[in-house]
Amino acid sequence: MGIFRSAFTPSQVTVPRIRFYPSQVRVAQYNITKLRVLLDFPSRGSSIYSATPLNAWSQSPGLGLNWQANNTQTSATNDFDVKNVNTDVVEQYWRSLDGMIATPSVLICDSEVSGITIDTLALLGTNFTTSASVTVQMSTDVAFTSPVTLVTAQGERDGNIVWIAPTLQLTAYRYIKITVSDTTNPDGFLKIGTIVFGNAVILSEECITNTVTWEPRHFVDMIDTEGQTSAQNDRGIKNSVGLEFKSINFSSYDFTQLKNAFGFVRTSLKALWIPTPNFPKRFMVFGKMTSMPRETHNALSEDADYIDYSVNVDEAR
Amino acid sequence: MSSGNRKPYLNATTFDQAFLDACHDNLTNQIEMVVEIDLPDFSQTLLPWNYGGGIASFTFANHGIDHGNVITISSSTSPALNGTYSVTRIVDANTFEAIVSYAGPVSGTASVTCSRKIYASDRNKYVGDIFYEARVRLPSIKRTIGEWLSPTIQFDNVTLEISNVDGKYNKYLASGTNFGSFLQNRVVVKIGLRDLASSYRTIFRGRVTDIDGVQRTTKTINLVCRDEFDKINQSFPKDTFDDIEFPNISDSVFGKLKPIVYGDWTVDLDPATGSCIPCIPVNGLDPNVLGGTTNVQMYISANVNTFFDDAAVVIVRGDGPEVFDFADITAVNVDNNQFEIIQQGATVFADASQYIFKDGDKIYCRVNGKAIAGGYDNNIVAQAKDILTTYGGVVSGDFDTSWNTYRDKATPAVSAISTFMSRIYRDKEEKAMTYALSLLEQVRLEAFSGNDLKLKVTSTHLEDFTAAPTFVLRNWDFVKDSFNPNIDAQYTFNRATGVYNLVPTSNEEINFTHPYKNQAAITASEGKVIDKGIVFPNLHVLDTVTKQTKEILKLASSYFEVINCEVTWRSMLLELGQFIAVNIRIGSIEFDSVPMMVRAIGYSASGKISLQLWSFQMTPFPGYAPGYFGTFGGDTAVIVED
Repeated sequence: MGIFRSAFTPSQVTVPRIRFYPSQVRVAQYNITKLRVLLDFPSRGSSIYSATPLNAWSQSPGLGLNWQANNTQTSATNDFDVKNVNTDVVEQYWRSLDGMIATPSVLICDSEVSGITIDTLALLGTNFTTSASVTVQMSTDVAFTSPVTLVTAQGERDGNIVWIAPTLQLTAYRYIKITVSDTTNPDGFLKIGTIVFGNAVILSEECITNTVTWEPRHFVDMIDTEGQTSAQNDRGIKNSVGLEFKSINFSSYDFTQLKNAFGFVRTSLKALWIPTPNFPKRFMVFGKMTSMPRETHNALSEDADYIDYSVNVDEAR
Repeated sequence: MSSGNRKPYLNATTFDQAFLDACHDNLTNQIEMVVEIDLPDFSQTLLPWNYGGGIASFTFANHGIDHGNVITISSSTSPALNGTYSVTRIVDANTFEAIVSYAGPVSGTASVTCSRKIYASDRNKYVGDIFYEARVRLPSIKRTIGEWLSPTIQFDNVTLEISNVDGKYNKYLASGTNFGSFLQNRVVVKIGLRDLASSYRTIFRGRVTDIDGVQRTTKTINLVCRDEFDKINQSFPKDTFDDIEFPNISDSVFGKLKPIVYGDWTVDLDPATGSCIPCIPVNGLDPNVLGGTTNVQMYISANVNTFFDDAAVVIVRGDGPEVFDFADITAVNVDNNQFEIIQQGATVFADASQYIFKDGDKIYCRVNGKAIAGGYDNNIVAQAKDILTTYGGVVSGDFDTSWNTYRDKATPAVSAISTFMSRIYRDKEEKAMTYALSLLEQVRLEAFSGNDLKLKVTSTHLEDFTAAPTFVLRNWDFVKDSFNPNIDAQYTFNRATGVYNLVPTSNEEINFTHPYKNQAAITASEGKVIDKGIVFPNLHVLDTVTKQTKEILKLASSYFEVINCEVTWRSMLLELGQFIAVNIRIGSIEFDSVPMMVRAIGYSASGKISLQLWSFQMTPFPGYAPGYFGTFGGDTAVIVED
C-alpha cells in the first residue's frame, strides 16, 4: 500500500490494494475546522500575461481586467471601476449606479480558462445591509445558461461576507457571477471593496492552539488639551490577529504547507487568514504578517522535531 | 449645541462652524488631507481614426496614462468631437479607452492631450468620486499675514514626500518612458471631512520649484513646492532703455530701467530742485545734439502720465534749479511721457547763458502719473492693486472685495484712505508684492492670501477691531503646553517720528513729522524711551502722516502680546485677520474673553491647528475697554508732541 499526498490541498490519499479483485479508492481529506489561508486569488484571473486568447471581456489575460459589472457609477476619474475589486486596497471599491439597489447588480468574473474550484470566498468592504440578497453562481459559459449556485447569503454588519465550502468542491468552473440587490440600503448604492476566492491552504492535522489574540487597533490623532481632556481626529479601526502554533511536527505535511505559505506571502502580501472556518468571521483578517515567524524547535531527533511559533497578521500593514 | 449623535462627522453633509462645534462637544472628528499633483500633459495627433461612437480605444506607445486621467480632444476637421473625457480603462502600456460622447463620423485628424494627475493622501480614501491613494506624507501648511511694519508676505513652502517604493512613478522620472521632470507642475493640497467632497477646501496651491524642486531617495520622490502667489513677487519695472528704440542713447542711460510714475508729482516737491521727476535724455549720442543744434529728446516714464507741466521743467546746476522757458519745451507726446528741449532757444539762465546739452545734465519735471480707472490715481490701495495687476500678473478675480472696501474708506479721519494722497516713482528694481505691501503698510493695511486663496486686505485700524468676537477659545481648545505669549520687541515702542515723502532727486524721504510719544507708556517703562522712526515713502501730506504715526504709536505702546499656540480642529475655519475671544486660565496665563487677532494659521493632517494671535488684553479700542491697571495704550492713549 502506498500513500501519496498531494502538494496542494485538498489532500488526497491513494490506496491501491491489489488482491484477487484489483480495486482503487480515492479519499479526499477536507475540513472546515482548521486554519485556512487564502493566499492566491484566481478571482483576479490568470496570473500569467498573454496577448491571446482574450478573455470573455476581450482583454488579454494577466492584466487583472477579468471582471465586468452590469452597472457602475460614473466618476470623473473612473474611480469606481469594477477592477477595484481586484486590489488589496479594500477601501478602493466598485460602486453601483446611484439608486441601483433594488434592481440586481451583477458582477461576472472570468477566472482561469481551465476553471477553478472554490473552497473559500470573501466579499470585503461592502456596504450591504443585513437584508441584502447576495447570490454567487458558477458556470462553464459566460452566458450562465446552466448556472450552479454556490451560495446565497445576506449582508453582514461589518461589511464582510465570507463563504467556506462545507464540502470539497469537485467541479471546476471558469465563470463566477455575483448578484446583489439591497432594497433598503441607506446609501442608495452598492459597493464592494475587494473580492477574493479560490483554494485556500488548509491545515489537515496540525493547527493553531486554542489561544487566539484578537486586537482591534484604533488609529487616531490625539490632541491633549489644557482642559484636562483630549480631542481626537479619527482615522479608523484596523484589526490584527495573533496565532500560536505549538509542537508542529517537522515531518508533517501541514508544516511544509505553512512554511510554503509563509514564504509566499512573506510580510509583503495580504492574504485572507481564517483561523476558525466553521465560524469564519470571528477571527478572519485580510492582512499581512507583521514579521516572518521565528521557529523554536524542540529537536529530539531527526524524526522527532517539534516546532513552536507565533504568527501575527495585521490589516493595517 | 451638542447633539444625540455622538459621531456627527460620520454622516454630516455640511461642514461649517456649527458642525465643528458639535464634533468638539464629543471631542472627536475626522479631518483629512489630500494632495493632487499635476503631471506633464501628454499629446499626440491621431491620424485618420476609426471611431463609431461609444468606447473609443487609443493606441499611444507608452502612454503613461494612469488612474484618474482625463483626455482632451481637439479636432479642427471634426469639431463636434472636441471635449474632455475620462479615461475609463487602461488596457495595457500602449492602449487605453475613453467614452467619447460623440457618435458622428470622424474625419481628418485630432489632437489628443491627456492631463495626468497623481491623487494621493496619507490613507486610502475617496473624496467624492475620486480615489486618493495612501502615498504621501503630508506636511503642515501655514498661511500668515506676515510681520507688522515690515513689507513681507510669507508664502509657505511645502515639501511632499511621495512613496515610490514600488517604482510606480518611475515612468515620470529620468529615464522613464513618460519623463516630465515634475518641475513647475501644479500641486494642490486640500483639507476636509472624511469623503465629503463639498467640505474640502484648498489650503495650498503652488508649483514644484524649478530649483531643487525634485529630489528622490530609494523610497520616495520629494517635491518642494512654492505657493502660486509667489509668482506675484516679480520684479518691476522691467523695461530697459536700449539702442533699438533710441539709436543715439548715451552709455550712461543704456540698460537702465524705464521709470514708472503714479500720483501727483506737482506738489510737495523737493525744495532743492523744485521739480522732482527726472527727465532722461535718450538721444545724447547724436552729434547734432552734442553740437547744440538739435533738440534733446527727454523720456519721463514707461507709463502714460495724465499731466505734464511744460512750465516747470528745471535743470539743476551749481547754484540750484533754473526753469526752462516753456517755449523751449516742445514735442510733448500724447502720453505725456516724452518731450524735447530746444537748445539755444528762448531760455536764458541767470548767468546769461543759453542751454546746450551736456551728458549728465540733471533735468526734472512735474507730472501727474499713471491713470487708475475710477479716478483713483492718488489712492494708495488702488496703486498697490495696479502694481500687482500690471507687474505681478494678478488678475482681478484674485482680489477679494476688501481691496475696494479699504480703497474707499472715508471715516474716521485717521483712516480715511480715500482722501489720502500717495505717489510713486520707481526706477530701480523691486518685487511687486513687497512694494505693494509697503504701500498698504503706510496706511495700516496688510495683505494676505485668504481662506479662499484670494488676496485679501485687513487693517490694524483700531476702529475696525471686533470688541466681542463670537468665536471663543477656551482651555479645552488649546493643545497642552502650547500657549506661549510674549512681547515682541519689534512691535513695542513709545515714541515715534514719521519720516515721509521720498523724492527721486535724492532718493530719500525729505520730510519729518514732529516726534510723538505716549508718556504713560514711557513712565510705565521706568522712563525708558523706546524710539522708532516710521517711514512713509509714498505719502507726502503732513497731516496724513501725522495721523498714521500717532495711530501706529497707540498700538505699539499698548503692550500687546504675540501668542503662538496650537488648537484643535474646531478652529479650522478661522480666517487671517479675524478676531476671536480667548477665555482661559492656565497658571500665569489669565485671559478673560480677550479679543485677539489671528495673524497666522497652520493646518496639519492630524487635525491640529497652529495659530499666531495678537492679544489686545491691554489695548483698548472702540467697544472694548479692558480697564486693567496700567492700561496706557490703544484707542484711549494720550499721544503728545515731544
